[in-house]
Amino acid sequence: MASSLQCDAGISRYLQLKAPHVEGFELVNDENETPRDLLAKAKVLVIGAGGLGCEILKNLAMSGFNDIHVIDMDTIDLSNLNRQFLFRKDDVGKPKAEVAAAFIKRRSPHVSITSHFKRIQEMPEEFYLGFTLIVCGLDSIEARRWINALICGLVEEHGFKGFKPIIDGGTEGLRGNARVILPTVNACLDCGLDLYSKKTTYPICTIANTPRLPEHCIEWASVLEWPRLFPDKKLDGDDPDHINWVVEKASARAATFNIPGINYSLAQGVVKNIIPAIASTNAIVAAACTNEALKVVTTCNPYLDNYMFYSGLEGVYMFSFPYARNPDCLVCGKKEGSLSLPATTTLEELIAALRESPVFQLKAPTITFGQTSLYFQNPKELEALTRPNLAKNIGDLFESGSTLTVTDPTLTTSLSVTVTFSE
Amino acid sequence: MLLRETLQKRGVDGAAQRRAAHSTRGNVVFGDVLTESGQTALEGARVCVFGSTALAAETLKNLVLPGIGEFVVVDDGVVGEQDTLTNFFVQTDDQGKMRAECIVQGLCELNPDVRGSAVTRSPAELLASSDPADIQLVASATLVLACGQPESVICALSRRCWQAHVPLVAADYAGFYARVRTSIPEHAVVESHADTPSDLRLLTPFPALRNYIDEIDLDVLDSTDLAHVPYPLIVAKALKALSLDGDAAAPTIQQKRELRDLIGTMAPVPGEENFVQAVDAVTQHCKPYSTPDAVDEILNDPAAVAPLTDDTKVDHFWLLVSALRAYMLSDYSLGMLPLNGSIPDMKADTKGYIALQRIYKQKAAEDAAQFATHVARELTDAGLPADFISSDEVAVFCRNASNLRLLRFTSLHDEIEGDSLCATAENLVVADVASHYALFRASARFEAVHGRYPGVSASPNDAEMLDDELVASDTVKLIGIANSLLAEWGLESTTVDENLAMEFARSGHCELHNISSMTGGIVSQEAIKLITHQYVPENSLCIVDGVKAKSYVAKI
Repeated sequence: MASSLQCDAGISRYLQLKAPHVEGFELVNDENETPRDLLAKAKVLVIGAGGLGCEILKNLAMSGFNDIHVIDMDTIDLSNLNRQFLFRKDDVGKPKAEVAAAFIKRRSPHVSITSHFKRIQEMPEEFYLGFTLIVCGLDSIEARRWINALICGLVEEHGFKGFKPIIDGGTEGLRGNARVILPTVNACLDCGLDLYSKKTTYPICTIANTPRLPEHCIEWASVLEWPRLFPDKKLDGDDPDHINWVVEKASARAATFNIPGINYSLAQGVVKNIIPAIASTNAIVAAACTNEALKVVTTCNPYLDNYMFYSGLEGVYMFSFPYARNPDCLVCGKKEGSLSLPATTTLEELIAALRESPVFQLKAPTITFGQTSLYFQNPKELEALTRPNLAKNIGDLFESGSTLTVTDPTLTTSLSVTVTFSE
Repeated sequence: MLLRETLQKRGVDGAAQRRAAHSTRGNVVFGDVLTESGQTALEGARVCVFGSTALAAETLKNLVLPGIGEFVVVDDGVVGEQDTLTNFFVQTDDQGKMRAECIVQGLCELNPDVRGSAVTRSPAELLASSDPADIQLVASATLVLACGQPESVICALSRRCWQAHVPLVAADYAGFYARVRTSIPEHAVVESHADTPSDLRLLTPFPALRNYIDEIDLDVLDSTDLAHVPYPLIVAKALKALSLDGDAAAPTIQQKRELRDLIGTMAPVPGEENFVQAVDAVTQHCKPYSTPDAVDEILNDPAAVAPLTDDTKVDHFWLLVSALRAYMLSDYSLGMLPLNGSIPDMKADTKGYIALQRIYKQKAAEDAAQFATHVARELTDAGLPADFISSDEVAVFCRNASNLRLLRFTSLHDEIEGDSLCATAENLVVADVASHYALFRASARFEAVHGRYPGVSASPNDAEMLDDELVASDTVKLIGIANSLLAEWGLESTTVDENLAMEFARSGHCELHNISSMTGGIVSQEAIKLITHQYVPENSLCIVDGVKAKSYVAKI
């Protein structure tokens, strides 16, 4: 197979010389392809063109990857410029995927790079089937779960043709992680769902009645007061007037309770649930991801099995270990969940349990029981029709041991949840 | 708009407002990661970088983005075809130009607030020069980086930096492996951001806390009010009931069990959240006060006893430590470090929580005021002006008194040319990184002997010819050198890993973009820690293994 691969002498060496750390390293595989051919024909999808995504795109282009796609639904914000180095001040407001792709294209004209200013959920299954490998630089667990569930589903449906390794990176401050997910072979993202800390939430009663921290007052202003006073307007964490309104309300409340410490950046941090991201950690994690991508595609060295953790808080700590599959995984395991709740639990409380339980962490579950629609999140008409069920006890809706069908935006297929009534 | 002006008049967080309004870089510069003083230090830093390949450029990218003040790149390399394929910050049509100038231009585009310049001279020549401007370039830098430099340059740089107390981070690469080494006589960390538990002093309550505990009678509270009593108060009451408070003796395991049982019986209903928190707090908060080991060591350091004996320059840190030492010896402190005054969130009503918070904050303020008098005395004794150390800096130091860290390094020139490794090489074995390290050093020695790195063809005409046999024969030579180095360092019983040696020879000492980007991330993060004195840098060696996706660290 002829390849038009442009890569540096270092990578060339690794594509041609024997690999001491790879057992049974072959310079030509069963399909008569060399590592060089494999790299030349690899088609990689990068999900996210933010802090990690910019680094990932650069690294792939500088590692000899020829055919790169990038998908991101966001536009560039001024606050991105301190780490998302493919963007300039003039780019603010433009789609991230397009600006990042154009930058890479200018720097490395020999690389084919295609951008998609889209949500990942908008793309059809065939789109994902076309790639060799997927590299994710996302800041949302919801998006990660969605792509993980979709890609795990592809293997079941299409066999080896649907087998797409996922390389996923994430950072928070001076810490980060990278993982290589081989769907149905090793731990998928959902197998380790409890590794991801949930958004810090405060009990409503604390926010409403016994605030102690400035965060409680900010939550009171943003979660309770804003929707009450502006029911038709969504609070926008990027709108300084909105945040200033929150600061003013929260400060007034904090003053009556003698709580110190409200300020603009804290308010914005709480409203947007900002996870601090810095350039250096992004660089480390993104490079760890693309280094694995190169190894997975070319077999020039063994790839990560399967989880790498980095922390720069005290010294330098980079550690890797095989994270175990979870046989009960909702995505790649037995795909069934179970809940044990008293019969007097309301349907609304059951839904809350599905959202809050570390095993499920669902976002907006829709629930059916056999042919009966118990609760629909949307469309509006169905939601209104099923809303009265929320207040009903589950004991009045179905029997103990019943299996409910649950769909949720974080899942690509439905989930079976068996509910038994506890004493 | 009106709202914003009102808030500004009221002075609600002027700094954040100012940043949002005026910064060219958006309002979150370093997020919650650095405190204000760290950001200021970063913005005032001047970083001098030797080398201009991908590793230098990738490191600088992560320093330019968050806004270091200024950087200088020293290198006389010319852009070749290889550079256009590995170094993102040179352009495809830059071939033949000075590489240092190319990357400076590319990097400056990232952040208009940062000044960058290139010195297109060879590092070796510049370091040999006795021109005062050349000497100042290194001596007046906030931090120096050496990226992919030969051992001779590193030794010369290390001597300069060591003498001037300028931190030096040297990094190099060999294919999937990279090495990072920090060298500075000593480095103090005030804001370590260590995740230490709150200091509640329940076993030895200070008078205001003692009074507060005594004033509250839990017996008169109804069950609703009981459910909102902050847990430190519950623990304190239980300690008092069992007469375990007031002396410094640690409760025994049996006494702690009794304490937990008692707290359980005090709850209005079993499992009440604040009482559960109280039970959980027994292990952590019912032990006698002790100064953290790291701080104890600093307080007993000779430099703390006599901070001004070194006449090179007066060091804020040691003056403050000396004041802290005096504070600790004073009757006021009772041998306890100044309280930082923060308490964790807990189940409580607002009134109870705020009252408790005030008591700790008040005590912290009193401690800080006491500490400030010791600082003032220290300054007077040293004949220094009262504002020599700003009150902000004193306050930050005081607040972090229990999280102070001090790191002492060996120098890079001693490691390479001296015999300091004989004393520290065992640490390499313990960290399982003796082979990696020996192979980095052996590759340099191989190059010195053969005029080429292992695995690289001798004739430039054969550059395209890659040969497994050459790798194999160089591997044998490399192993020989590495094993003799290990023996020189006193590690006769350690032999180098053969597959690892072959992987080094396979690399041809080349630079891979991914590894340089990852290493650049680590070097820049270490640089930021060193510049800001926030977070704890590695002391002193870190090897990045891109084959295993691991790092190895050792103090050498």
